[in-house]
Amino acid sequence: MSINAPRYTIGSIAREPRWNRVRVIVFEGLMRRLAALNIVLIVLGSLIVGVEVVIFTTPAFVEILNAGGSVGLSNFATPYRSVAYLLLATLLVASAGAGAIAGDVANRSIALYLSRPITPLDYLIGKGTAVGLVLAIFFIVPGVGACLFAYIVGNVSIGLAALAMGAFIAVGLLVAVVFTSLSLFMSSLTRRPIFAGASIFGVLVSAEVLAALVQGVTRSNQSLYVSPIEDLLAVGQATFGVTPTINASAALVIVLVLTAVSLLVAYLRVRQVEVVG
Amino acid sequence: MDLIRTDSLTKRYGSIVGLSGLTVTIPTGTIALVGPNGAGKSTFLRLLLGLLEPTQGTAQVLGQEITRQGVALREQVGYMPEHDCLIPAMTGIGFVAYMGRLSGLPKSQAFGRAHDVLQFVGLREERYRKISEYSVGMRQRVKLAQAIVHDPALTLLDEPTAGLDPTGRAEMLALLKVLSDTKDRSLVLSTHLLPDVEGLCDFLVVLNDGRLLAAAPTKEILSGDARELVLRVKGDLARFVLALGHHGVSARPARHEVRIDRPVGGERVLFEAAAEAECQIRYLGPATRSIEELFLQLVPGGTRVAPP
Repeated sequence: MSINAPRYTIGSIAREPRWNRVRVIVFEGLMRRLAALNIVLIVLGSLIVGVEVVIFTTPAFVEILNAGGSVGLSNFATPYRSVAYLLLATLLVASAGAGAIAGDVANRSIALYLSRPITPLDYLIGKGTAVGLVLAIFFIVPGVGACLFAYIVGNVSIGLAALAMGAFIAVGLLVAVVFTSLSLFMSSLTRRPIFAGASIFGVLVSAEVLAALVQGVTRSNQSLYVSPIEDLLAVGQATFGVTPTINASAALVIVLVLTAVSLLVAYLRVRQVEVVG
Repeated sequence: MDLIRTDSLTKRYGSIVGLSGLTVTIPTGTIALVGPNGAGKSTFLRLLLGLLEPTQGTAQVLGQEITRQGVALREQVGYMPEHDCLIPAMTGIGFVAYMGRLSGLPKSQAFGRAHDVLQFVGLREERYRKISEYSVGMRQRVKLAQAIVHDPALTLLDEPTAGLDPTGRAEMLALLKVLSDTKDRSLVLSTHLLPDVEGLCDFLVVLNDGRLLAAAPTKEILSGDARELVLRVKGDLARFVLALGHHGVSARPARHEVRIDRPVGGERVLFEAAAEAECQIRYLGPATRSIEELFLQLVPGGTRVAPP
């Protein structure tokens, strides 16, 4: 291969602001996760949307469509009434979030990211936002779509439909933020995305199984606080006006603390990467 | 303005000392950072980029303080790491443009520059292929391209010829030569392959075990002992050496030349000895050292430096 070596300097170029560099990371992360070849993600996402559709076509939702004035916000809480939906979602979280940091550490591209004019925090925000947006799409869009469908087809007032949409957006965002922070945390602990994915899924499911087992033995609901899935369910149920099994405020505090700690650890790990590498 | 100025710059990794009390001032130009593996070269480069926090000391690069102005500094600096660091799923052009955008270039300029620099490093149609399909030489070229995509005032190159075959190495050095000749652009070239930097660098920094052994302009540092002369002759070298001995000049013959201490009474005796030995003096000048020779003098156990 021959080399053509022209003089290439083109003088000073106006630089875009730093937030725009973060936006570039977000966009690249989104595209990579939503790429046509990312079969796993598409299958899992479709599965989750499918489950939601099934949930909303069950008698509970048919009731919403036909009941008219007797329908309330709690009728929309179906996805957050049982652990099935969020348990299934952990597969999606593991798939979308595992490679967020671990992938860059594995191929060592993190050194190039951090050698650009961005801070480790910018990098983490970019990566986290990309994962969070993918998760938010799957956690929010089906619910909002169902509310619109109920308004158009059923006897649901615009006010109730908007309220339900707001609830889906609020809970969906919370779920996306919590799961994103957990996946960034796990992804920052290892150099192998597959280990990170297994950890995300393993930790969430194990915590749920452990909480359920202890609850069964002790006949006390206190153990459910251990599981982030149960905590999110409680917050979701409370948002939709359903009385949760555990205190929703306490559950909210727990998941917020968990989120903050996870993000802090992930940040510290990203700052250490060059030293470790 | 100095390119780099450090004061007692130290980096420790627990009990391991990566860099120890480095105080040096480096002018703009093409700088060679040489030393054996583990000398602290990569640590020094990462400190200069603001990727590592110094344990002690301070440093300024292009007038910017590395710990406080890291982001602003990295806008003006390009970095080519030693290890593989590319994103395999991206195409060459996509990757270099992405790195340009992370350096703050607008989208259209980033793609324009990416095409320019990939053309410059010799990647043409290959730029549209995925990086996972590239050879080692092509990956090195992409690494160089991403380091210069944003037209930095300073480019830090960590072992740029590592893993290349002789042809690839020569081509990479030719590229670096073009870069080093570019006006208002500086290079810091870290390597343990000493022949790579001869003829390329204006300034030499020698490190060993995290300590500074020497830092000076290449010509100055390689000029050696001013009292020593080098002679190249046409004729019988052994006979010439013998004749020099008769005139009281101690000669140290090498393969094609003779090194002598400058004669006290002037150089006339050299020509007398040449006439006596029926030789022609073709070159007479002050002795210079190669970087390899300098290194062997400076570094205890300097033979650790790898051959090219």
